[in-house]
Amino acid sequence: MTKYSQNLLWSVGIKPVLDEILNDLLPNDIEKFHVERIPDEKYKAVLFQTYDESRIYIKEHFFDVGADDDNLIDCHKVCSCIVYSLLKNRFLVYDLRSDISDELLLSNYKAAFLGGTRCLFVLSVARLQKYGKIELAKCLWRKGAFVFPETNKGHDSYVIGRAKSFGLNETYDRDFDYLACSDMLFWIEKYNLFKVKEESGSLIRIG
Amino acid sequence: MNENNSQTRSDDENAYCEFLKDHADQMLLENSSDSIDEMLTTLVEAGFVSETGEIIQ
Repeated sequence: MTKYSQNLLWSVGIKPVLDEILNDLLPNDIEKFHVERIPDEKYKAVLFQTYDESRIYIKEHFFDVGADDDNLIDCHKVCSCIVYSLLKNRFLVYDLRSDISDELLLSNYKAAFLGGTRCLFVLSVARLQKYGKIELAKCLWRKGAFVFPETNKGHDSYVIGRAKSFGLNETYDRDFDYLACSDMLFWIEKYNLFKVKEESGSLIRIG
Repeated sequence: MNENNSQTRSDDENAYCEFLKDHADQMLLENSSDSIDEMLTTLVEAGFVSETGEIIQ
């Protein structure tokens, strides 16, 4: 991925998510726990450094890299590496106190999940456009982001459930599963493409 | 405890893990035909995003 592509994914996919998460935090929590955001340029640099390292790792272990290391990995694996990097490089730092709010505790994990899915959203629109599915690309782009399925009654929302899963895995020192994360991203994309196709079909029938 | 720690695995499990490593080539995943760089360029050319990374609605 070129520097230009990294900057684009940062501007369109990652930074908006980080901004939203920070904006959603209670001012009281920000003050009480001395929440600080790692400066964007510094954070972007380490984020993509870790991304490159993890991309190289999965390419060397799970793929045939090709004669000149020129084989490509799919966008779900790419976004899985972005998720890993967002987990490893926390964009918010705060005082580690026993009375921390749920919202703040899960903030970095939400950033990882939503940052990764937002990047996949961008690439999903791009792929639709590339293969000539212009109207679907426009329909999906208008949504602004992927949507997630409703969960069963009494369960956390899908986003919170994913954030908690990341948090629990880190708590108990479980290795990050790139391939399972990639598969999750694949199904999230498929779910959204199915919904958009269904809605597009309805619009065509009504028109 | 990380269950992948070879020191906590039985000899049989360790042998199986070594066997898998010898046959990892048979499980390699398929490569992609889509370049991330090309896809993002497509997004800019189609007017979804400006060259400087601003979202165009």
